Amino acid sequence: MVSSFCWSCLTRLPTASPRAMLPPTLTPQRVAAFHTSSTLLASPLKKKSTGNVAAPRYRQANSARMKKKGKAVERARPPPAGERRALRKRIVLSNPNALEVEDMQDISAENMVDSRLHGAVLGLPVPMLDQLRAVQAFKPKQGWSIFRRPGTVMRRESLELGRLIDSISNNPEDKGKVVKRVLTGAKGTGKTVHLLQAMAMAFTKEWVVITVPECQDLVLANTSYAPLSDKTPNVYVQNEATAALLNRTVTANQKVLSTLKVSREHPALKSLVARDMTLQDLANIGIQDPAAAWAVFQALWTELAATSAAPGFEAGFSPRPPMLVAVDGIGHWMKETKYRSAKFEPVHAHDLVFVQHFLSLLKPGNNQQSALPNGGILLYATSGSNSPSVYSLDVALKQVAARRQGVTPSSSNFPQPAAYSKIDQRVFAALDAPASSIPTEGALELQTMAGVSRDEARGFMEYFARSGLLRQHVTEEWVNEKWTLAGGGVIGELEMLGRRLTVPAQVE
Amino acid sequence: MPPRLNILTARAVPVLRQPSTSAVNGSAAARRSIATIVNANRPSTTNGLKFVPSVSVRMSQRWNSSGSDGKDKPEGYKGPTEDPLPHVSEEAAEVSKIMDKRCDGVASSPELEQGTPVSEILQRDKNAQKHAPKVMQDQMKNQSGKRSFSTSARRMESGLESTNFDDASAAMVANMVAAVNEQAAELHFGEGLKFEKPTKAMAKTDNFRSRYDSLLEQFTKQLMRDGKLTKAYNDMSFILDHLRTSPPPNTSMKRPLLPGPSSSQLPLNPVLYLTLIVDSVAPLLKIRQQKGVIGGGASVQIPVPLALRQRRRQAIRWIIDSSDKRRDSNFAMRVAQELVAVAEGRSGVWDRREAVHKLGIAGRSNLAKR
Amino acid sequence: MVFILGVNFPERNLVKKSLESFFGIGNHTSARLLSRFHIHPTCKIGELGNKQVLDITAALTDMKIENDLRRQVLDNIKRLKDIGTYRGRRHALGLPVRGQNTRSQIKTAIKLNRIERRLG
Repeated sequence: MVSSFCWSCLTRLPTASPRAMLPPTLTPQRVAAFHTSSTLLASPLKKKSTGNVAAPRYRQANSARMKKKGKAVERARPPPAGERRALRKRIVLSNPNALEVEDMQDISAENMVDSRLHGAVLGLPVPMLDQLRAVQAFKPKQGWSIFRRPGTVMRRESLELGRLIDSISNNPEDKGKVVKRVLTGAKGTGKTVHLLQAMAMAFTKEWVVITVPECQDLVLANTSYAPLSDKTPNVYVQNEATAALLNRTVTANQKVLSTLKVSREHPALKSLVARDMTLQDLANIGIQDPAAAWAVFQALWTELAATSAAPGFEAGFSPRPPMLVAVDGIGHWMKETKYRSAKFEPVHAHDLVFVQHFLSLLKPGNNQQSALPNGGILLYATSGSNSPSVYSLDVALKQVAARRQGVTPSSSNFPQPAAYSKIDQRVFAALDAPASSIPTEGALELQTMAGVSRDEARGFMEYFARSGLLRQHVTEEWVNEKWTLAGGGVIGELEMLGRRLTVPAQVE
Repeated sequence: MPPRLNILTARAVPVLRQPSTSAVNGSAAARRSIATIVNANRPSTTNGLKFVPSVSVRMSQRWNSSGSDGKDKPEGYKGPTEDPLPHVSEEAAEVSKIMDKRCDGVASSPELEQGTPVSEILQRDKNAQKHAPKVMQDQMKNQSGKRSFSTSARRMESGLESTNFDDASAAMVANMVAAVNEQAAELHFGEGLKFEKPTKAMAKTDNFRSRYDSLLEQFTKQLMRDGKLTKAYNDMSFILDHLRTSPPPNTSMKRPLLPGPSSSQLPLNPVLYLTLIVDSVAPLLKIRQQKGVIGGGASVQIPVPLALRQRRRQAIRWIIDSSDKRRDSNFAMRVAQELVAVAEGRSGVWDRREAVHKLGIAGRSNLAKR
Repeated sequence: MVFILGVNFPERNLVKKSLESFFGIGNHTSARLLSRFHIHPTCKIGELGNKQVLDITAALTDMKIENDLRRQVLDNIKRLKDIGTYRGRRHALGLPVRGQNTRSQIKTAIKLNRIERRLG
């Protein structure tokens, strides 16, 4: 098409169409549209909101901004404080679905020395369970929950312990005898249950039972601590932990402590102690006021260790019963704690006065008095599952065993730590207990727990079968197989095998 | 037509030989004495029996020897080696007769001295018969040669069974042998076995793969998260302990568990309890959406039956899924509680099962379109 | 609610955490403060005795924390600017001060280094 403009002057040529020269009409022209449908005009452009898309500022990073994903959705409220811990530490001692084992005897004064019951499972007396719970004798993962009621195997060590407790209580020759033992052994060999049996037997004989169920609690820096006094700034007292110990002791030994009366003055407690107070009331002072707990504990200890009353107090004095001191997991007491001194140095466990007291019991007594003047048993157990590896403790325990066998420390056979190894002299000092000069006080000995015998394993497995938990013929052969599988009768492993629901062996 | 046999293989097939031949020619050292005794009756045996040699016998015996070929063909057709060689002892006697320098009638070798069986002596010597041991006398009196039971240990020797032993003593000895065989048969062959059953070194359940119940294994594997099988096993033992210790389920009338022991018994056998729960809610079928059957791209719901393992898988899947709605933070606890809820008929898993079954019933008509 | 240095802390809070909420006290200092007054690390505010609260407050007042510390930092930066050092100039320009590359990743410097520097 030819352009309608003049090439030279760019004016309109007259040849242009007349219509182009008309002024544009103001009214919209109605042109017959090709389409019959009405026109749809686009809606006017909306201004885009410029809220977030601000231009990047000077030298600001211009990379794409990712939307943060995985923003935590508001969840339901977490359970209240302490509930999860309570659930974790919950101990169930009864399963109403399990069958009651008929003719199962309870631990009593008569049958704890009965060697005919070797290998049988003896139940713990139901009224005693509260006492045992109070001293925290049961641990959460011990598998009590599938049986009708808790029971333990009378193994060789248990019978021996039963005889010991019986003779200290009843035999006039053994009156005031003190036995000091450190229990060791592999994981699952029944150290803690041995302590439990000792406590149950001690309760039947109405001893005073004092326990530290978990040594780790004292060194984890979870309870308050303070210097003992201004004179001894490097020794620390744990008031809350001591109050808890008093609480355990009082709850478990209420029957015994409520019959015993105070037998001397206690200058540290001054006016708090009345003249004819029972020991239970004495201990309650410490429970109510943790600041005084340590002084109260010391007073309680001197009362329990008293062999005679001080002048003026003879009226209500009754002889004190023997004591059982059970400590579980002493490995934690053989190293530095999580506590810090004022100079921010780690505090050694032996600087805690609580720990000091219990470790000093291992040493021979002084002043012509044994560590437990009224007799009793010290049972300190190591732990197989929750124990720090302390090399010095391992060597020191070997030394204890060697000393017991009559090897003198100067002998070349006496176990020594390896040269250049890092050792802790305080551990050696704590466990270095020479024989006592007092005849009733035994030297420190080492008792190593191992697997149970085949007969005991059989009795244990039959307990499973009679409780209805094991659907299998408990034959000699089957028990031997499990005994071997359990690493030679490690009772913790046997328990696992007993509750494992395998397909019963098919006889072919 | 007799089957064509490879000569070389046929020679090596002694089993195919005629029974009487094998009995006579039997080379087993242990049966030497028996063979000798039976051998004494040989003439009568050969006369009394219809002697039909098989092809293999013909082919296997003396293929290359030409000596006996055209010699004796008295009447009818007789194979080249039909007339067997005399017995080894007879042959030996002949040889010794020829070879031996001695002519006084004494046998030259101890073999031949022993060759006369007791039965033969008894037969001709009435006096000896009288003084024979009582056992032998009894046997001679009682036995007529007919036995009500089989004496054969081998099938191929069945031809001998019907033999009429006119000789009582031979029957007696054969009888003794048979008695021994009977005794041996009583030991092991009671179950139709020839030899003793082998004893297995290990039980089936000793294998670690078959140590647990199959449902338990299946459930445990489905509990597994992120490939942590050990955790799944721990969860499973927690669940089983929960089933053990939780109170027995109050089964609902509307949604009962499969028939089994009463509900108070269930916690004592947690594996059975779990199996009943899973199998009770396991769907019988699944719905397959199939396209293109009726055309037009529309899909048709076709019910498909499930195998046992598939059914259980679906049920376990549902149980774990619905347990996720529970509030407890412990996974094993959630599943355990859900299982108890299923046992008591409170769980939503039952609804899912019913929904699938309803769909399956509705889709029955679609099966024809497949 | 316990007042420590004029700040009110709820009783359920950990002492260590509460101390670390002050400007100028971190893990190192708070751990040493606690051991100085024989407070165990998991102690809650509510478990503190009166004497311990007073001790802590006294110790905190002696320390250069919060506004004193902020002022000191600002003064140091101001001094750098005033004497015309390179570091002062970088502070004023909003660029990294310690020789980092500036091609990318200098958000912290952009955010913090201003002429009117604020510490917070």
